[in-house]
Amino acid sequence: MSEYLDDPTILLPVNAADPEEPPPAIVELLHPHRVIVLGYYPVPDQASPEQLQDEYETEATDAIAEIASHFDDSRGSVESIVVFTRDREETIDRVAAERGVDAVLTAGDAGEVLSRVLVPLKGDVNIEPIVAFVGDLLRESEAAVTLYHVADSDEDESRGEFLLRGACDRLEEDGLDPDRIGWVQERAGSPASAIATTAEKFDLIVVGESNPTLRDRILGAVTSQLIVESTHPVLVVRSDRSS
Amino acid sequence: MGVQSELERTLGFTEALMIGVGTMIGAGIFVLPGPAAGVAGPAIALSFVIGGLIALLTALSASELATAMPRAGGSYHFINKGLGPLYGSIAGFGNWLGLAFASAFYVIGFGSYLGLLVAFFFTPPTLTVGPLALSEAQLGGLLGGAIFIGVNYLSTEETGRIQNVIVFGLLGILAVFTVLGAFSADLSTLTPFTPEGTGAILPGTALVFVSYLGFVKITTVAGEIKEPSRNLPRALVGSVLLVTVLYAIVMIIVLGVVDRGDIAESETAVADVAGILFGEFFGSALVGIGLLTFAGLLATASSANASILAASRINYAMGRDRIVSPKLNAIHDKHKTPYRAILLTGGFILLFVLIGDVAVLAKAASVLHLVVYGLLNVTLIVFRETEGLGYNPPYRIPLYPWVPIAGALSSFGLIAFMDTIEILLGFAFVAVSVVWFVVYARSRTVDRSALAVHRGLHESEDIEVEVEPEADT
Repeated sequence: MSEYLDDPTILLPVNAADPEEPPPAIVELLHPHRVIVLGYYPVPDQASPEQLQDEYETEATDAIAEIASHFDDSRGSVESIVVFTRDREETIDRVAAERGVDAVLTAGDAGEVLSRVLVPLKGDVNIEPIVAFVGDLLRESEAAVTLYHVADSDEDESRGEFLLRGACDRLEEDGLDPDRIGWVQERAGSPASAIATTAEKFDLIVVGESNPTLRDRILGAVTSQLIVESTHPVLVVRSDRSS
Repeated sequence: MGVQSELERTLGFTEALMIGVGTMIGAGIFVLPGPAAGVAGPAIALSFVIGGLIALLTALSASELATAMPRAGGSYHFINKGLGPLYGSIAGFGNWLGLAFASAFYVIGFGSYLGLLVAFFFTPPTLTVGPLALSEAQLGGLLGGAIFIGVNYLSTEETGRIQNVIVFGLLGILAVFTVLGAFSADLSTLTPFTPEGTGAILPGTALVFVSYLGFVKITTVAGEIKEPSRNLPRALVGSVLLVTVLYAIVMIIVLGVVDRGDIAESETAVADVAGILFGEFFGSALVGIGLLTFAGLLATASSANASILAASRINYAMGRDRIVSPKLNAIHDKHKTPYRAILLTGGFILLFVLIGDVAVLAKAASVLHLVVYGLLNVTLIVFRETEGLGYNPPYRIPLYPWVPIAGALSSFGLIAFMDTIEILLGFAFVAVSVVWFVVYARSRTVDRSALAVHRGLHESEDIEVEVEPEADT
């Protein structure tokens, strides 16, 4: 097992033009881990990125340093960077790949505490890194985790149960209290809307980055739909973490 | 804690190529075929090819300079770095106002197509504003121009992707047009090939050269292109080659379908021809006219818009070097746009629309750009010979020094084939730039150019080397 799994790196993208303080519950959750605060500064077509950098560099870097300071500890496990960009997604992807990021947080309205974590699992994504990440993430917290699967057939249902039970065992092995671990399986035609409905009852969602399959490209990936629709913070576990 | 800031390079090869093609295609095909055919007849196809070759030489020189200095500002930036603020002023104002003239030309083209669209529904009344009798195209142009300026004042994001869709759409429509035209073209209308004599070919090039101004737009966004040493030369040269071939084919088709006398007065010739073609093949002229009118609106709009965007980057680079006041480049608090630069450029565009004559606007834009292109080629020679400012481009052009020498001579030379009024207009702007330099910029700028260093005006160790190593992504 490689080292990064023991100390996961989480990327926190922040709009550097309009910086918002991360909610205290998020700070508490991420604090024990390596955090990269990415201040992205959106650049309109009318200006070159250099021009906005000239004008706003100090303002943006100060604001991001302020946010990063929340995650600072003696171990120096926080890094921060400001990028003037025309394309936020592209910048997040690049920075995540360059720095071996394990998961990207998309901020939503976090409650006072993050006590209920939902982990939707699908058969076709890489479950192992997601579960390993959840184990590392929650080791130092008190949150309860619910592993979740949506089945669309009998066959899928029994396969899903097998996946969920295995994942629970794995979290236990990773040192999480069995009382904190649970699983739920549901039967529904549309996994995306079932996940979105269930997600409303939780404080944080951890999902895998879905490799765009042909169906995803046409219908839109479940993950991106979840990010758009969810009002809660979502942690997206990256699949190409080897880079 | 020290936080570093970076610039994201977001434009790949296709985006860069499409910026060039998208800027150029509006003029060459959708506005000029009529007037151009009037000047030289079917031989205008040759005029386009010659224009393409001149542009190609400068595109090569621009490629090398842009890979050496991939920063915002394009030609102006290279010339200022190479030859100093006097030539920098000439190039900066030339490029800026050249783009404003080109934009005025594009928006009048837009107005012509808008007029065609309106004519589907009713006959518009002619409007007289005070002593000015404005044509339909001018009215449409003022309206379109005001909209583009407003949109850019408010800011847009990621129109690059829309631009790609527009350009591919235009290429598709033109492909249909070309195939239908090839079946219908009648070789007899292509003869005589040179009804005005071979002497009309170069004046033809002078008129249509405005169709090739767009490639330099790619250099103004050099700082935003991924892997510039690979993508910049390919996008610059590729866009010029692509549009040259396209222009030549479309001109042959247009003049193979109609007699040049029928379109010489038309600023929407391709739509007229499409009407004939679609009437012949599908029994519906309206579909053809409608399709090409739609394409013409998109093409002229994207050309005008791209020129406004390029102008704001040149303003920024000039302000950075203190040739104009940096106050011009103030960023709008809310919209994050350089709103003053956009409004000023917009003001020039609307003013130039009042000139109204597309041929004069096109050639004025060309004269100013040709001055810049000539200087650009000279700049390349200066950098190569002095190796100043740590000049070490990852891409070096073949056939040095012949390419920049031919590029400079052909660029300056083509100016001679313009009419007196455009030449005078062009040189008036050059003179104003020189006066501006003497009165305003000379005391505010320090000449740290490659040329000044070479002539020993500065100790070279004082020079901050601004030629950046390439940031690989």
